[in-house]
Amino acid sequence: MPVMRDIKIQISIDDLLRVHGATEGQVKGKALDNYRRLLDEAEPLLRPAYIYRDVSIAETREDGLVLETGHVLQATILAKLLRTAKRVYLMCCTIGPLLEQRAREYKNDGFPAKAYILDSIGSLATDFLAQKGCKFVDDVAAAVQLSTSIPLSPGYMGWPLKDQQAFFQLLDCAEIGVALSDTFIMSPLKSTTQAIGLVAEPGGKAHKTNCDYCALKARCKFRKVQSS
Amino acid sequence: MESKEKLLDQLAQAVVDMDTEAVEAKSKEVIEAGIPAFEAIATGLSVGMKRVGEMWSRMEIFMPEVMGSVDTYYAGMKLLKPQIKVSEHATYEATVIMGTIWGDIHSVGKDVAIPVFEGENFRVIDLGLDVSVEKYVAAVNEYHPEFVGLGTYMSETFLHVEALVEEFKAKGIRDKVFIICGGPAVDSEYAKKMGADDAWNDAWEAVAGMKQLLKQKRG
Repeated sequence: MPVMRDIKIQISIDDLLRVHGATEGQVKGKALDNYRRLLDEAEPLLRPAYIYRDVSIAETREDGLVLETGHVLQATILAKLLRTAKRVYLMCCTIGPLLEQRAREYKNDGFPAKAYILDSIGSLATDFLAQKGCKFVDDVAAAVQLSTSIPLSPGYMGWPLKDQQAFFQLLDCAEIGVALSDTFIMSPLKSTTQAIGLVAEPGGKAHKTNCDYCALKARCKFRKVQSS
Repeated sequence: MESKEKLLDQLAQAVVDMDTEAVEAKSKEVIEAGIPAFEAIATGLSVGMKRVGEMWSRMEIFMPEVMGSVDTYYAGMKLLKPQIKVSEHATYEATVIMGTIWGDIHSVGKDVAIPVFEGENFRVIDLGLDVSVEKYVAAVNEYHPEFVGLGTYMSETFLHVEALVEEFKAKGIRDKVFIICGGPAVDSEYAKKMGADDAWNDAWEAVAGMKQLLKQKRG
């Protein structure tokens, strides 16, 4: 099963400040120095990796997909967005355990805000890695004149979290050090799974992003482009 | 030795200034001067966090500055909290148990909200992340809080609020507490639809809302 590890994660101070509702021009002095220092501290702690598998879709139902392996992915959004897909890429990615360990140390030492900032850096890094995965599948699709769906994950857009089990049955996530708890929480916490369909429609995502389907919409600070 | 009022004001200002060294120095002075630790927290550190909240509300500062003040506040708490005497405990506005709901591991600003709540004299019990309904029920029975705070980031896990409300009803504790929600996946209308009492945009709005709920309850 293919594993990718050689990935350079880039997060800017602007990205980090944006998720905390500010811009570089608004924040100065000690506060800005603190953010820059934590960004520098985080970088060497990132251990990005993702594992993926290409699975054929045996049947598309109204409420989900049946895979060639017999696994059922139960989400209306999957059925809707992957209705023309014959194959789906299942991926699991992680930034590894080190950043979260450092955040825990800060919290235990009485610096919860530093821990929170590191946690935000971890979220941005995980998102960056997931986007790298999307780009990889985009390239695969383009090579065979197909498009891709937006990436979908259990826990979002009405896809029950329990379907994480299917990812962990189909992917050797232990290979990249990711485990699943009884409550379907991944460890390291900064890990994510995503399903991306190879779809026949020209344009695929049709200029849509996950934000167009997400309940948070304009309230989400992780969103780069706010709707007008 | 500085006067008590001046010392406590300096403690408050150090929180605003994100000056950890000053907070530690002033906290030690407070202890040496024999000022009750609870008073130093309530009228020193907490006043600082209150000022930070006011500056945040006026948009004079942004979240990164709040973050700096939060760690400074905790640096003072680390020294002062162990000095609180048992007899000082009875003066809290209310008790809040807080946790991120099961299936979710985002702290959704819970760690930022806690000092703001403490700054407003709420006693906060932090249950952590991925908190099961059983753990919430046990905490209600142990701490008898006025508020149960549920943090949730994902739209999927927000649905757990309804399950928790039903479980609280089944256990006969729903009417004993206000259930409040936080996190980007929730607003006031949605929270009420799920059977909770309310939700707010940030910790300072939450404090105002919680005081309002208490006022209604206590008359």
